[in-house]
Amino acid sequence: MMEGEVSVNQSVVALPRLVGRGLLILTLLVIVLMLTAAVLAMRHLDRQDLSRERHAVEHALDERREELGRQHRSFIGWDGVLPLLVSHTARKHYEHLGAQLSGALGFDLVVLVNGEDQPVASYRNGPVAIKSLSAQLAALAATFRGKLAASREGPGLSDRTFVKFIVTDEGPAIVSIQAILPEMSRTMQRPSLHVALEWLNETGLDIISHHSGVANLRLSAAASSSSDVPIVSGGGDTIGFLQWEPFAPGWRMIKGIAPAGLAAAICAGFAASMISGWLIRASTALSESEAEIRQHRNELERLVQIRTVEVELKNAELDRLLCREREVNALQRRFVSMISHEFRTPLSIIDTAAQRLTRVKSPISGAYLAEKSGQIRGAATRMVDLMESILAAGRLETGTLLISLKSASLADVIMECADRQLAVSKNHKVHLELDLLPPFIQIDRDAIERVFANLLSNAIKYSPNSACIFIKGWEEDGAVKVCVRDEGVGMDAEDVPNLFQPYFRAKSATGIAGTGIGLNIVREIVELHGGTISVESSLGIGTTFTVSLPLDAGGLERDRAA
Amino acid sequence: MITVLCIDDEIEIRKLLVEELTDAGIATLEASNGKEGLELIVRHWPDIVVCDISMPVMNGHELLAELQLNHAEFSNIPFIFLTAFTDKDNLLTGLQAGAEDYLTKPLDLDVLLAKITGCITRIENNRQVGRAF
Repeated sequence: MMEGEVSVNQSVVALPRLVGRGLLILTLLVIVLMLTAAVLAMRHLDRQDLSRERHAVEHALDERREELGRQHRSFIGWDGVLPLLVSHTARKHYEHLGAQLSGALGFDLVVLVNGEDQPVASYRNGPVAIKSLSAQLAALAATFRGKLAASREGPGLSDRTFVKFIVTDEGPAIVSIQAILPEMSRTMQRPSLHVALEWLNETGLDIISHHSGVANLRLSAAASSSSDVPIVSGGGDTIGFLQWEPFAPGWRMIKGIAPAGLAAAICAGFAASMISGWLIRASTALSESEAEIRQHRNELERLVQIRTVEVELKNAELDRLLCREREVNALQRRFVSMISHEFRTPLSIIDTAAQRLTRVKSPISGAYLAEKSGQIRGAATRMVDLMESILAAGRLETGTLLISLKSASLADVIMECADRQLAVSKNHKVHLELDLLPPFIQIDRDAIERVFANLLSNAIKYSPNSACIFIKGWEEDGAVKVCVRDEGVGMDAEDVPNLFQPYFRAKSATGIAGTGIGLNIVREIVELHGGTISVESSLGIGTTFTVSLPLDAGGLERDRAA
Repeated sequence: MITVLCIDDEIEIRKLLVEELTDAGIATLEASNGKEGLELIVRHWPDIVVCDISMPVMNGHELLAELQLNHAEFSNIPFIFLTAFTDKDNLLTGLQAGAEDYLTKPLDLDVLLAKITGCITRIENNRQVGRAF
């Protein structure tokens, strides 16, 4: 539920950022597209214009060439002139003809040649002396003369004028060669070629430029990249190129509108970036605050979880403590009940024995008195032992159980304990093997006596049906070891680890009197001596306690003093 | 002659009881736990049982329950608890199980003797009634 709300919020928060970025990208895209379109349009326009210019130049060039031929024709067709020339001498006639062609019709050079290709008259802004035709002109003249000769026998010269581009000594030119037959001119006794040249020099180019409308034409030997028109001779050779600076209207237009366009594009880009920046900032701020809220919420949830876990842990701990408390209470109740029971049993012996002394019907003998006295004293000893145990347990709990080490014979202590226990329980027999014990070790005699009294009374108490108790002592690894073994009821393996806990009693001890504090005291005393106690037991077979006391207990004493 | 079975794991207590009862002219049997006691009951059919509670192997409560459950023929024998347990739980358990009485240690021998005498009187009355019919 919560997660769903968060994701919706997130998309709402991210929307301005998306719009901002989209706007910026769109604007930049539009600018780039416009620039591309402008460049493409410019190039298209320029290319079209260049092609137009080229057409114009080609057209002007063709026109110029055709014009040269037409001028010849119009001249030839000009009947009024030629008869006029007849009356003059041949020389003058030629000169006049040359002057007319050169000056009046605008040819740069007019050369009249005879049948042997010898120039008979030349004009170039007046008569000039040309001794011979150039090889190219001569070749052209020969070609033309061949055609002329053929026309006499054949159907006749279809076109008596021949115009083409050639390269002369002074550069490219348009050349016109015209046949003049005797029947066309009475002054001419034999056919003659009339050669005229128009050089593609400054003047010639000006004329073409004027006709084509393309300014600044120039002549070049090599081709340029785009703006040129080849000049092709009649033989198909390219003899040069007409070149010019293209007008490029597209480029001019672009140049014209570029500042305004750029300014507009920059303005648009700036505006878009401002708006998008604002949107993105707004979005970022929103998402940041949203993230902050989410973080706060997560933190709160985490805190709640931590607190919950803490509370649960505390509850579990409380439960555990309560359980433990109950266990301890139950143990203590059982202990109090056991203590009461344990006191009442010897008390009962004392009380009953005393009653018997007054109730006995037969005369009281010394032996009888001794027996009663023994019963009473035995019970009193039990009560004292019990009281000592309880006091020791109390001292254990308050930590005031102290031992003071003195040199003593462990064998003596054990033998005294055995004697005392056997005095109470006459059915049992204790087998002692104490020869291997060292003569003296450092112990607290009273405390160690309590240890073995406890172990021995346990061995007797928990083996009601087997009479033998074995006590064996020896020295091993710098320690004195004594094991107390019985062949009694034993205990479950699961009870063994708890055996030394205060108030604990094994299940197999049910029905056997005891307080559950004895072994706890035993272990504490042994450990105060720097020793250890271990137990092995199996149910129905018996139990063995092994006490290990350090030989050098004095070292422990010194440690404690330090 | 009336026979009383004394069951107690404390040999001194047993000895004192036997001494007192013998002085009073009553025959006695001794057992140190419930299991031994049961064997003696089955074998000798005593008239009265005086039994401790806290004993190894089989305790007093277990013995009484065993008698009621599996040895109905002996369940009429007066069963007197003599124990150092003074708590109410043990008292109620014992009486509910059918005990004749619940005496606690230390013990007034007069009380015990009075109780046993009362039982003997009732037993002998029953015997005479049984003979009359």
